[in-house]
Amino acid sequence: MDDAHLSAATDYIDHGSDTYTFLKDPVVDALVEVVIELGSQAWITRRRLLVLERVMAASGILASEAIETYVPTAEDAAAWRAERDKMMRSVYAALARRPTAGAEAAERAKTPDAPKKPPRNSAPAGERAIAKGASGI
Amino acid sequence: MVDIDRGSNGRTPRLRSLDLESQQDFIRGFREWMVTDMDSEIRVHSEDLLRRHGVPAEQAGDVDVLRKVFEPDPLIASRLRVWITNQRQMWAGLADQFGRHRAHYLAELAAFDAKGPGSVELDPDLVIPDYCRHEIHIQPGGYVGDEFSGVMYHYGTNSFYMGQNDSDEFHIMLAKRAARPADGKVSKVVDLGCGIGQLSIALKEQFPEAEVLGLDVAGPMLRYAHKRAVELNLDVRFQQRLAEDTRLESGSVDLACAYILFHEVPATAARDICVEVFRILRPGGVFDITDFATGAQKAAAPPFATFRSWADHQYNGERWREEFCNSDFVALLNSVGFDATLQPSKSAWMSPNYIARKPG
Repeated sequence: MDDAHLSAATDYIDHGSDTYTFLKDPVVDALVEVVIELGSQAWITRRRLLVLERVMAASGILASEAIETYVPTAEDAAAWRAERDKMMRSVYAALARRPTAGAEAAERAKTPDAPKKPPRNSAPAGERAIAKGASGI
Repeated sequence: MVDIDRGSNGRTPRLRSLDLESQQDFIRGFREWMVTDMDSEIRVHSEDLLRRHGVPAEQAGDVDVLRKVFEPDPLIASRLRVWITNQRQMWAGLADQFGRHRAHYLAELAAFDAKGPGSVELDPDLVIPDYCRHEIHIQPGGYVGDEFSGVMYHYGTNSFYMGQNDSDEFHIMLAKRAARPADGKVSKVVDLGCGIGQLSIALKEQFPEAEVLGLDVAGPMLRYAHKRAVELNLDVRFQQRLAEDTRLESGSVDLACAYILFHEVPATAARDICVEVFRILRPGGVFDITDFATGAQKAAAPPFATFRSWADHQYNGERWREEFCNSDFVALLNSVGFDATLQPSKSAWMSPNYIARKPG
């Protein structure tokens, strides 16, 4: 893939939505985020189990005893630890966030001197070249 | 998360990981619960709050009064918190997927850039106004500042369209109900602020003999729009242009559409766009607009809806929403020469429909 095809050739105004505080204490905001993220993680897992059970049943595999008695290999254990740590970061990241003035960020984004960020997922400015017309891009 | 081809839902490829699909499914489920169960309680609660604070009925549409009463309330503050959290989780899940498999998704876009039918014409010299650079719906990077804004927007709006997105069902409905010129002649159609081109595509299907153009300021959205049109074998021309400067010939267009465009632009641009559309439409041509309620209709909204509209502006990157909603859009359309009317919404839950005809 040639990054010269990139088309996000502009910067953007960051609204700072990660800093919004709605409740009396930013830590309470963080706790609400944690609770919702946990709900999300629980549903992701439950939905995967529903799929898994349906696939196993359709394949004629009697799964329940095998699942209950399975002993993880060393590789399994390492991979699952990594998954668990990723889940910890995903669920609890909000608790580690510094309380900042979110309303200020939202207000700042509406002003002419709003802070701008470079394009996301883009190439360095010097590498961008976009030609006009379907054949050139 | 595993990244594999998992087939399609209707016209749309399934997300390439079961976990991400499930995360987005949770987000949709949570949003639906929030806007039904939670909001029905809050509507009652908000009316009660206004009564307890002694707010007279004539002040119940004043957003400054509503903010003083609603913002300190724990239930309403929680509603704002969970809404923004839900929104942020949605974008975070998608951004993670597309960011980690950046090469794959960029290659997929590039593979379609020069294919037909139809075309995508980007303009590297286009001066993108600052008013377009906001993170609309707090989508990271907004529409112009992320190479993946098109695909992000498409999957991110699944929770908004509630099952009417995968096969462009909602946009097809809009196109079927699009206003026609009185003489019925539709040979050139322009979709302004077309974004990922769902309405442009639907208009081409509705008017197969017509030339259909989709214009937007955001290059990444247009690239994705073109990819989808090619996949559906539809001949649509997507061009990176401003709606207020289409560079189209005067009197050359039969039907112009703008779906949820105007609340994303400041009042000055809104006026410029109306003037430009009046110029490019032929006499008898029609401008079909779906957007938020303005003027007296907006003023008649229940108090919590008025507050929610302000919150959308304040926290959800809808920088120009309040300015638009507090205007009188029918009056603006009429002031530039149109014969404009406000029509009922084309769907049970969508915004109203403005029809503006160029006399001829």
